[in-house]
Amino acid sequence: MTSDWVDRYWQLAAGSGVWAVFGVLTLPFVAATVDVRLTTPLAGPGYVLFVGLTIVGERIVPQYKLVVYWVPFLVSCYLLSVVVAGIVRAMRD
Amino acid sequence: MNRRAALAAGTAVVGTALGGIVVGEYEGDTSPAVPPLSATGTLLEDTDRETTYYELGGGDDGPTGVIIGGVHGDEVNGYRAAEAILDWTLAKGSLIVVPWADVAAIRANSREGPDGDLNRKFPAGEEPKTELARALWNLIVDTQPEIVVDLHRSRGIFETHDRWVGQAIFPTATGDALEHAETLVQDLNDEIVPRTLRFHRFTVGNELGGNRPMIIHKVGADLGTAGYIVELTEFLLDLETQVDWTTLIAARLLGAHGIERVAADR
Ligand SMILES: [Zn+2]
Repeated sequence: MTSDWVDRYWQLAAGSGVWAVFGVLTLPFVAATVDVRLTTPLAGPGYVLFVGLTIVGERIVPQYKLVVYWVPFLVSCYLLSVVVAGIVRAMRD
Repeated sequence: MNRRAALAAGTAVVGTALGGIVVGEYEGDTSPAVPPLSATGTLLEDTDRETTYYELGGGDDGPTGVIIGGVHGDEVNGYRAAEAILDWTLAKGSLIVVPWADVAAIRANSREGPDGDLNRKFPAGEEPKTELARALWNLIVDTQPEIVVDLHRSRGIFETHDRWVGQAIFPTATGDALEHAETLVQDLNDEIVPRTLRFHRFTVGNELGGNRPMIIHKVGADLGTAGYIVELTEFLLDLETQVDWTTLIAARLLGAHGIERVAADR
């Protein structure tokens, strides 16, 4: 395995583009949940994703409190960020 | 003992009983204005269910309202909003406030007290099922209220999440409660719920007619009085906002029934 290969996948999984998208998805939404007065339209995508996860989850595993959805939410945001950053990178290359 | 001293003494007792959960609201209050409480009373005195209620206003012959918080001990917004209402000065009408209906449940920060869910002890057309429920019911009946408001919150959102009832106002089938609830919900969605948080828009719940053993069901069915269950949610909504919105909703509902606070209060 060449170091070039490792570097390429590292960029794909944890490059700055990934974290930029992750921040855009999560930070404005987190701000809205800390204080509703900090709500901006930028919170919309994270909000819809979080509510969507709970709507589905409540049907499958209704015993869980809704705060546990932060885990699948953050994982989903990360995976989405990898995909979006990957697409942007592919289009640029 | 003047009113203020009486209040301080009363809340000190409750505060101790609740392990300091609520006492801070009053003890540190250095506001120069004397709170316009005209009286306090006690339900189930000298028992472990003992709780204080407060009478506000009453200077005119206007309508009387009843505000109940803490029926479910883990629904913090309800009793915090009721505590905030204790600081009001009323311009019209009067209020009976029961901030900590189920003290034992609040102390345990759990939905239910030692006798179970307090809001399942009020069958329509029958005696309430526990001593606490009977005491609370007698207070409501003796008050001859124009409106009764019971403050709650839910884990999720009504009609978004299958089993939860948050962000909804449930009016009694009696009088013009439904109409007032509809106006209120529209105003709340226009004025306070951010557009982005579309699932948190308030809705009007089903009308309460006495088919379930809840306080407000019984208010509607047995007294023919307008009543409302106010349900906020803890879902993605910070506690301060829950309390502020709950307090605002109570103010609007009371206003719709002719009980108004002095605007300069806040
Ligand atoms: Zn409740």
